[in-house]
Amino acid sequence: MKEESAASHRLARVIGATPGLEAALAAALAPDGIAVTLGQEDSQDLCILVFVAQARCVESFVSAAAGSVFEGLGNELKTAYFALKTNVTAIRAQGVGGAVVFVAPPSDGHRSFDALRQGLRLLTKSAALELGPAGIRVNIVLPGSGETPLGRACTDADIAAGVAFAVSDRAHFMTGADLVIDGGRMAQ
Amino acid sequence: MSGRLADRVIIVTGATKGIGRETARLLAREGARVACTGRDTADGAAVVGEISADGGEAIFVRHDVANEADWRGVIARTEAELGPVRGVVNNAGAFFVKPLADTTEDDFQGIFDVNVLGAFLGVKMGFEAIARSGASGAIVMVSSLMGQVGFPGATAYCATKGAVTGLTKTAALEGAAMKPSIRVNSLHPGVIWTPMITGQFGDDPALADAFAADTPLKIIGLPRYMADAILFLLSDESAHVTGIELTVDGGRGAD
Repeated sequence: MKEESAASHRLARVIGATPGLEAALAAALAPDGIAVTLGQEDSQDLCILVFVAQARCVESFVSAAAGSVFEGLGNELKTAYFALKTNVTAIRAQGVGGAVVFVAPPSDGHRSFDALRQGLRLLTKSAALELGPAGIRVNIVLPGSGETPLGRACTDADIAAGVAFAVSDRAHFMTGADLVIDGGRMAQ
Repeated sequence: MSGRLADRVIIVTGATKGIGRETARLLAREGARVACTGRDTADGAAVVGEISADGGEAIFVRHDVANEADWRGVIARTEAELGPVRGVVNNAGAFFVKPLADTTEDDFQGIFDVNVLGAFLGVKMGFEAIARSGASGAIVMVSSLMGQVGFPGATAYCATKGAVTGLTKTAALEGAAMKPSIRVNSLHPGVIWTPMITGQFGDDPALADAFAADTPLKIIGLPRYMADAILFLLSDESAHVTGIELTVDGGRGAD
């Protein structure tokens, strides 16, 4: 049931994932004929970027040192931007389209993550508009964690399944979209 | 049969044309046994024929989604002929373009009955049927980008799709509390080249080109793309996804 892509040889660069998420991504992408690379080497097969944002929470915006807030939010947004710029240049050079997925830090009650999540959302939408004509789709996965209406936390496999859908040909018309994977938390 | 929905029974409303027809065919290819419903018996027989020719299993049931007795009939026949229901795709929809000033109470009531009352009954009846199966389930509401943004000339349509968003999120929370749980999500297509669009605007290929030019991905939306998204929302790949609005619109809504 994966007729459109099983034969092709495609590479996804994964940045920022924990070892657990890396393994889950490799397993979820394999059925679509997509291999995962963690390295930075050039490859003609590179057509996918998965950037997993790292967040450092602060308990209070007011009492935290300003430097630590910017380190958690601004620097990570800057890192995401440069990862996009560098890798999309390589992907676009192949001329066959591609896909980018940002994975936001989980919404687990640390409100200090929210500005980064929203920054990444709008980076996603802006990049989707600019890269659409080149056939490069850009979407964001927004995981939850902790208590959810479905009664369990979001797992690496849940996130990987969403990323695999978003980068696959099955999401051929999806770009600039939010894919929320949070067991119903944001519906409340 | 193998596939992402192996041996699951799914009801697809509005399965005689457009997105519903393509969805019914894809779900069957992924192993589902599909109850296709709609108002056009000839088209219904045709889609069942297509699925059978592909080696799949399907039935057609004539269905007015705004009629609760019809829903009970659809579910009874589906359970009797295909087995316990595991999913519903509330796809049937009405659409018209008319300025607000010219839209009559009858116009509004007519589109409300299909798009909101029909969707409400689909969730209510779907919950009952899936709960009877004793297993978990998933419901997909086919909404629209016009449930998220306004569109001049589509006041009534946009209002109905906005209503479906609240219906979806609330049903998702009630479904999450059920044991086993039922997931409920809405899909928001952009412009998809279907009879719903061509019936209002005509089927001139130049129009399709214009829609494509107006879409960031520079392609026209096809029913197959929506079927793929619906498959994702029904399958275990989205096991932790509920209460979301999934926009699949070629980037139109990102602007």
